[in-house]
Amino acid sequence: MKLLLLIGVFAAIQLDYFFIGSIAQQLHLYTGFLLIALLTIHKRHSQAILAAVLYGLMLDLIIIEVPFGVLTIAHILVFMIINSQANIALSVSRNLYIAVIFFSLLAYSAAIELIIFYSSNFLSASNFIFDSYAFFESIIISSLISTLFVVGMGIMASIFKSNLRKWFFVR
Amino acid sequence: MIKNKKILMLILAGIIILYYIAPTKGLINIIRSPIVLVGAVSSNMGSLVQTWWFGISHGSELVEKSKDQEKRIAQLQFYLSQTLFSQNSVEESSLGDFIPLEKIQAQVLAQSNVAGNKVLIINKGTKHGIYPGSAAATSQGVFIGKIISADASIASILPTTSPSSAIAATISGDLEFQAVVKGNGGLGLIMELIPQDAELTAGDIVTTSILEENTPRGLLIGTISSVNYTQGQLFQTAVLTPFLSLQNIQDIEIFLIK
Repeated sequence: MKLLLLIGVFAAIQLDYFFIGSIAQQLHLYTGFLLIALLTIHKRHSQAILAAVLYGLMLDLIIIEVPFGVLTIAHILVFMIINSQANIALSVSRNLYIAVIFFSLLAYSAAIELIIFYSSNFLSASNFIFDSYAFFESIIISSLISTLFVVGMGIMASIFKSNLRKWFFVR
Repeated sequence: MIKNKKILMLILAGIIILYYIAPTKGLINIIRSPIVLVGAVSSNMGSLVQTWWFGISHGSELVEKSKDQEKRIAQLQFYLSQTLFSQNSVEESSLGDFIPLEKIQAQVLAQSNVAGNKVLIINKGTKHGIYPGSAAATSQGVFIGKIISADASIASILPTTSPSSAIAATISGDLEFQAVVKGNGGLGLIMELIPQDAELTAGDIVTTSILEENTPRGLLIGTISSVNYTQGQLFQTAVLTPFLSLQNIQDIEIFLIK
């Protein structure tokens, strides 16, 4: 199970940081956050915290502009916040669930982008310029795309589940 | 459960502290290698998707564009030969001491976004002599950007088209002219602080200036597409078309700081 989690986090890093990063400049996908959030909401706490630590550590290893450790600590805090607010996600209806995902993604993307910006500028030697318009555009579009991604994955999973018997002749 | 969490936190704190106080860089590089190597494949796949999408949405424009590019390549080869000749002349003079000419080959492993900026991750780092501030260019003399951070075995480049990039530039063949080229949100380049009386025309070649630290002069940046001047302003601005598309960059050269 832990190996599966490691593979999942590794795939999330590849998708979030490298694959989407090479497609567009201000577009992000937050599958790592979605993985941590889903594990936390479904009460798999030990796996969720491990996913948060691994995802943060991998980001710390590859985003060399940010001092080592910052993103790991940030993702542990993310896990703690989701854990304390998990009941909200469990108590809402299906439509509101999507809204909860969107707004949590919005909050996460804003926080993580600001952490990367300020830690690379003030704790490291980088000199990035903050463009507020681009920042808001980026977090809204990225959160929307990540929400669509999770909804799409949900639909695909339900189609797969309902057609499993037909496709694989399972009795 | 709580005990496990505490143990995990202690291990984590230990790793972070060890990273700063003990020579664990070698171990970190071993852990990083598979992530970056698979990342290079993911990044290439992303580039392919983007190229494929661009082909579908801009197919008809591409034929016309390739004809223009052929003309521009011919023009560039002419300018490049002139620039290299002029650079050699400067190297022979006393100014040559200030130009970092030693360079090493590197490869772009992947591209990513950091704080709203596209960055290129390369396979060389501080153990190869690369430090923040070093300039990067293609072997054809096209300026890519500058190193913003470097670790033992990898480094990241901020390309000229990134919004946080600002480079001292000049017009090819005009030593008097000085301006600043900035990234235009990843879409192109904008040249600012152009004196009012400067006479620029579309098609002029913009190159790196001798004022840009740790960067050889004469590296190609882009061509001027349009010049804008608002009455009463102290400076003109110009929109540039970069020579470089970041999608296809692989082999590059890094100029080492003396």
